[in-house]
Amino acid sequence: MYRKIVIRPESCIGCRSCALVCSYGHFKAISPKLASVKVYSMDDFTEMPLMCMRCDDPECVKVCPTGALARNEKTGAVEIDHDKCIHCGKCVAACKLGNIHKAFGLTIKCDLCGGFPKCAAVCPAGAIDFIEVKEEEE
Amino acid sequence: MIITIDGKACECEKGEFLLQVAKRNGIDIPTLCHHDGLPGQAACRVCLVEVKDGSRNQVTASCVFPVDHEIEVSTNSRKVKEERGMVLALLRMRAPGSEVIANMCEAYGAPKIGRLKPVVDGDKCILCGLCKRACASLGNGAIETLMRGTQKYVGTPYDQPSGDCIGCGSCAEVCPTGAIEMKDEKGVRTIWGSEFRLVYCRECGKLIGTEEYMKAAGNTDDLCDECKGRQTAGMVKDFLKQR
Repeated sequence: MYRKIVIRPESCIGCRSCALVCSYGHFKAISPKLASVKVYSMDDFTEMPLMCMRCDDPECVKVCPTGALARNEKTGAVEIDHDKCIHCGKCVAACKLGNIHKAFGLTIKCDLCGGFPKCAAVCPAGAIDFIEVKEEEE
Repeated sequence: MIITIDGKACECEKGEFLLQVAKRNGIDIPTLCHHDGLPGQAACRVCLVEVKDGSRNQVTASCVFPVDHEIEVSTNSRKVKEERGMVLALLRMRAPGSEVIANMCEAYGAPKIGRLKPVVDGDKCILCGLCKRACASLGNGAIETLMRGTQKYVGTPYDQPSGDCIGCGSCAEVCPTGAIEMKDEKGVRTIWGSEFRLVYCRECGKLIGTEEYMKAAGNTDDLCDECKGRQTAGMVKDFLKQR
């Protein structure tokens, strides 16, 4: 049994609480720019919350020259070590899904908050959920 | 293994460097030429500590000192303060234009040296070589320390624009004293005497890098992170509709 993040865009009300709690949890700042979860407003007035999708073979880890990006085996998330990062921006260019970005001199990426994602806890509409998956359902 | 740093017992593995252990345990050691992502090089000598090993006492650079048995370390003894102050005072003579070093001199009580004159007025570089290491780790190796002795400086081979430089700006990012100049003007980035055409996102016009850099990173569709995210969001939405 393991846990994973589930997105239900049809329930999203576009309040951006997830982005605010994400930036506050990581950097003690209220700023959607510093958030690793982004909510996109689509052309047909639907909202789409997106964060790192945790690829099986992550491109960002492959291109990182200093090993600042590494997978945390406990949570399964690829985490960034800000001390090791030299801000070359290769991961930003390499991520085809656009889930890594740079802001205020920092490279920002979802790390699953160490196993307890705050965005899922705070979402009022249940659009982001952290659920348990039984192995039979895989 | 347990070592003592400033009276605090710190657990560590054999072969770990002192600076690493101190940092993990929340003990502050000032550094200039150290970056966690790159190997230590002990060039600036600001991270000096005093190591007491039985009857032997030595002042050494903590970033390259591996722990192999139980020792007692002091980061703020009189000897360390004196030697670190002198190192900083000499660095100030080497790089009089750097604010970072001037602030450190004040914070760590560097003595004033009257009989020495700055090497180059307004110079900021302390010749630590961190920029060259960052460039090498990216697989470019465009810059190197040139000449020897008092004429040493950092630059591209023969001071010609290097063909290996991709204009990523990592060297300017890791430089502890902000000595490397990088200018983005009118769609052109100037660094190390080379000029690079800047690439902007084809959807929103945000700056994403230089042409050579995008080629090296394997990004072919010239989109910024946000526009890529928007594209992904559209894909996910279509996928959900089909289900």
